[in-house]
Amino acid sequence: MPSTPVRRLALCAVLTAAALALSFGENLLPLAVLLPLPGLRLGLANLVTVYALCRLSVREAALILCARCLLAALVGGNAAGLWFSLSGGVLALLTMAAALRFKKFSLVGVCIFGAAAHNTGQIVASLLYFRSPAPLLYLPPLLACSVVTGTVTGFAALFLLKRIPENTA
Amino acid sequence: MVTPLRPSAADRRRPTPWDALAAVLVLALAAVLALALFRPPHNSGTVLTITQDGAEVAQYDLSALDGPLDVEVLGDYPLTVTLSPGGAAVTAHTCPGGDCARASLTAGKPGQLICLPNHTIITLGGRSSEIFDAVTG
Repeated sequence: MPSTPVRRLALCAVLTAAALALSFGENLLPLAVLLPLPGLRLGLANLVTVYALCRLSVREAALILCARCLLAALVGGNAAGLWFSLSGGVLALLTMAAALRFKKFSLVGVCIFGAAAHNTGQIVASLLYFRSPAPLLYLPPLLACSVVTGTVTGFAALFLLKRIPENTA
Repeated sequence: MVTPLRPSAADRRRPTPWDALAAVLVLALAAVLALALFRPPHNSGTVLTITQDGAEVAQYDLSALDGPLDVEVLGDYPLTVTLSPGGAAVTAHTCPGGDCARASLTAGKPGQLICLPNHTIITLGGRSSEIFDAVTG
């Protein structure tokens, strides 16, 4: 964990930028081409969230998440996107923070739960946004896909935490 | 003095069998939801309804069409839906993703297309009191 407040602040800024870049970058990999599900993404930005939860604190991870979602909405010019990304991101963060306390799971299991929670949060946001239960039909296939995407990000998180020692921050 | 950290999942460097349990739990939840939400269709599925922001904006009977009919749905990201006696599909869109354009609806098979950016739901089949029967795409 970073030793000084300035180091922690710098790390938060770097992670925010990384999350923003990953969020835009995964749009270049449209999984919807393989499976036409609205909102289907690899979830690489969650990788930054889980890294922040492991190396920083829940509060700092939440700040990084909010900053990333706000900046993405400003850059993309999509105010509705802020609602969807925040709802999914916050639920994923809280779920992963809770799952991290169970030492029986590794980061793979944590990220699976996080991906499922992210998709669930976005569907709930859709239900409220459209005032219709129609988006609920997409939840079962999205949950099934979250097992795959969560596994991918979980292995990436394991590799990341192994390669970046804790005392370099 | 450094306070010892409580052991957590972050300390593990390899996947565990419990991760498979996590996957099974999520898949089981998906299966339960699928069984609860999907019901076999029980109507002919020729009435197409376009709703936007929860309000019905148009309704067409595909069986009454003589040929293709282009319907433009206005909004933040206008899109064009082409109706025909055989079904319906989004043939033009202005949103960045275009997920809805990769699916179509077939007459006789109730289903839905959802355009999130334009707040639009295109439903084929069913009475207005029914929520949904199936999903296409």
